[in-house]
Amino acid sequence: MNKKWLKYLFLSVAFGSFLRIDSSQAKLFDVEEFYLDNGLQVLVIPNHKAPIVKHMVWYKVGAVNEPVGKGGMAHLLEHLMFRGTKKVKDGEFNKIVTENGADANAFTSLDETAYHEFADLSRLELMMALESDRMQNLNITQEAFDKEQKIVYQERKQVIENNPTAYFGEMMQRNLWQEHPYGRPVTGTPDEILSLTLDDVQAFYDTYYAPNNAVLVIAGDVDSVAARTLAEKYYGNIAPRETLKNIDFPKLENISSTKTLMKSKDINTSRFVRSFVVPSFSQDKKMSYALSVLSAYLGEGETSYLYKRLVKEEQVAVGISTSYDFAAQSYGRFSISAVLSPNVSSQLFEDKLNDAIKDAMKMLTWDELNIVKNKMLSGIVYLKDNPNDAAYIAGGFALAGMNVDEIQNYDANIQAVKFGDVQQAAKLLENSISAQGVLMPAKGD
Amino acid sequence: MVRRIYHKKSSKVPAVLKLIAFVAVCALLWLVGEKVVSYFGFNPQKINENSMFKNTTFHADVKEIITRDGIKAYYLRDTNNPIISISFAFENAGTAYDDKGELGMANMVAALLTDGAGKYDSDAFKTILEQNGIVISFDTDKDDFSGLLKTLTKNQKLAAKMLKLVLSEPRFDSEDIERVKSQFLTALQQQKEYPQSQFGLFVNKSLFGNHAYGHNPIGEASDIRHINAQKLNDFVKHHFTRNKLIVGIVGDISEDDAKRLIDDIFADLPETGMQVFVPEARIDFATRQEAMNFKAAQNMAAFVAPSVKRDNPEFYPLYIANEVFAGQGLNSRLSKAVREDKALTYGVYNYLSLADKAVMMRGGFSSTPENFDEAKKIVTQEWAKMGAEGVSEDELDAAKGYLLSSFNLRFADIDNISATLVAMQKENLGKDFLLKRNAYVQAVTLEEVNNAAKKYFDPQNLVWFNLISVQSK
Repeated sequence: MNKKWLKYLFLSVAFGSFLRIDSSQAKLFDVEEFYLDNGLQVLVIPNHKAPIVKHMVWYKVGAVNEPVGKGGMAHLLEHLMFRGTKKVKDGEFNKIVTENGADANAFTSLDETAYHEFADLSRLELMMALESDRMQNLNITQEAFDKEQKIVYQERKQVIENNPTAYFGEMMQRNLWQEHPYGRPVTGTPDEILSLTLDDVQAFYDTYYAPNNAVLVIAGDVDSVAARTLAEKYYGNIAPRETLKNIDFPKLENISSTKTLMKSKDINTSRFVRSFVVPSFSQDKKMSYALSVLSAYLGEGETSYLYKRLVKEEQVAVGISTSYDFAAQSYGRFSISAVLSPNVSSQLFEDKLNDAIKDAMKMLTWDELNIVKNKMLSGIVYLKDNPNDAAYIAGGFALAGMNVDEIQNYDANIQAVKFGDVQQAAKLLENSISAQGVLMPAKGD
Repeated sequence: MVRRIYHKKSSKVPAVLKLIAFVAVCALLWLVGEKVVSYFGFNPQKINENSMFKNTTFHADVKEIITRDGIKAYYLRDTNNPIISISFAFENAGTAYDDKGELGMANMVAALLTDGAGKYDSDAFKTILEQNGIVISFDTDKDDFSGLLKTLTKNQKLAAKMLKLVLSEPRFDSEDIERVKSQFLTALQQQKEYPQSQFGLFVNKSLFGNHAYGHNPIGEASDIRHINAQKLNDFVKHHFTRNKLIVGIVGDISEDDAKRLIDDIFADLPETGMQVFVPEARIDFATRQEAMNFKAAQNMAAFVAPSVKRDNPEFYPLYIANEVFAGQGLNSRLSKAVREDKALTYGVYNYLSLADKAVMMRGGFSSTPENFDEAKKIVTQEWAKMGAEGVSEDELDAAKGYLLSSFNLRFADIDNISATLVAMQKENLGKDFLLKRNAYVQAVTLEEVNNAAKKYFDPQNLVWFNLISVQSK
């Protein structure tokens, strides 16, 4: 329930975003699940409001799978997936998609790469034909590679480096994660992007793009019987690959906290970030639900504890929010972000924040906890409306390690969080690896 | 491999058998050939023809309803989920209508309306909304002040009561005003940090000069500091009136209940308030280059050219010409030329901008400095080519293909649908617009498209704005 005008206020620094459910009753969605013989997991979310459908393929591969020094490979490959296969030559994919009225795009994150088409129901089979073709027949030419390498370089310049807080954001990511691959930028650095080769990207595709390493999500005007027939028809004959590698993520066991102060001539307002390495859903389900509730209580929305205390009462910040990213193969992340009020020092803000968090946990009552949970769930039925939302959420949750029951019963699992669980979650933050940073204007230098 | 089999079969056999063998081999070749074609070829048309699902145009039967108290609204019933979405707008109450010395007023009102009404202070008000899954939000653009109410069908009475309270008895408590002021002043400071924001302000100022469209979309710091509860209440009194109101309602609600709900919310608004006059913007489209310097990782370009209003007969032809030129996806002429073929930018766009007081085509891209001039040169060449040669029959078919087969996608989201019902009324498109729109597209001829292209894609009327990146501010 964010105010639309907040579009003007850049609350967060340039971190990756993630799915957040703002507010339900009843099952989140009706999700039907089945597997093809080749290992492809299929999720179907019927929604018959209009003859339209969202078709998504999520691969369980992302920037974390890149060898050190080869940053940006997963993302460059994502771009090259639009550049032609043995059957569909360069330029044809975009042409076919557009002429058939579909919106096609893709995204890469640390843990996953997803391709999606939103189309009229009559074009679903065409989209499945295109997507299954590029799951197995990608044909990267040197010419296409050279162009797309330059395009992703321009993308990094435009999307990341034109943002004056980006350097700070990437530094905070490195400070928090250190040698863990979550410390790397998904785009790669400019030098890494320019040093990638066609062979690198081809090998990456050959290793990770396979039906047994993917989840197909179909949300829209279809039932599971039709979806199964079509999934078999288009994806059923793609051979699984045996070459998948599991990553040995480093264990982060030395509890440390870093503090960074960065001054920049390019900015006029001070930003504060404090992030914690915490369990993800895949590592600790119970703790994960508790951390979600804790985040909603502390800093999601204008009725949250930290907003009321630090923005409204003490006026040391003009905006504050918390977020918990539970969707990860390895650790999750809990973050507090704020924009400080003018003339408030970072030390004063930090002291006020620490006091506020302590008091928040003292003030939390059973009644208050129920109000928080209800805030998270009261509008969850809205997520059944748009098939695009359903596909993103179901796919994202599935890749985070949720089974169908857990996706459908998200609300019941939030409701089951106990008072003691939230207190434990808060204790956990105190004993976690953390990185804090303040980005301040450098005046008169 | 095929040839080898043929050779083997060709020695020491009677003529009849040779013939039979020949026929058999031809049959084999044909079969193999078919396999080769189906392996290497990809035939979208065939896939569509054999699709399990055929094309169905979604029949959106929008009704015009008139409530007991005389409020007109567009209504669409959608019973898929137990929810209701109401979009509404007060026309001519957007940021361009802020009085001199009060720039930022419409935005401040939009920000503060949900900070309490009647007996509920900010926290109490927001808690009631959150606990009941009710969404009330406000937004502004240059022209209009708009709002959204989304509720579960079962909570509609409470939702209506809360929105009515907002529109009639907003609190504007002083601590909320002060907080929102400091947020706006911070947003203005942050605006100075981002090259994209600074460039947007530069383009606005250069294009519109002293016209109200040239204002900073957030407001002016000195004006924002002076805004008080009295002025905020005046805005509400002046602008939240029935003669400026447009309403669209969609969802799981009967026609009678929809009428009652609209009356519950809006019927008690005053009939009229204050009319503010904003003249048409006079824009000089004579081709030229204007530039600013800023520290950034890339240069940025924006280009503008004349266009037509939504109700002009040339609208659809020009819209289709631009679909070919710079339309959806990466298949447009511009995306292919600048991005896909030359890899000079991450993205390039051009669209028909339809503000009430200024219509124009607006495009842009950003690229690192070494690519910048070449990218501009290609855009200019493509622009001139569109004006001189227009589009081909195939390109027209492809553009229509996109516009027709993407039509149903607009029905994905209930809030988008209710907003569409508001836009249909604002633009006088008629309640049957959604039933007729595809016919409008189909009726456009090649000649109409090329006449519009010739008239509006004129290099003499293409104005360029440039952000040139420098090492320090």
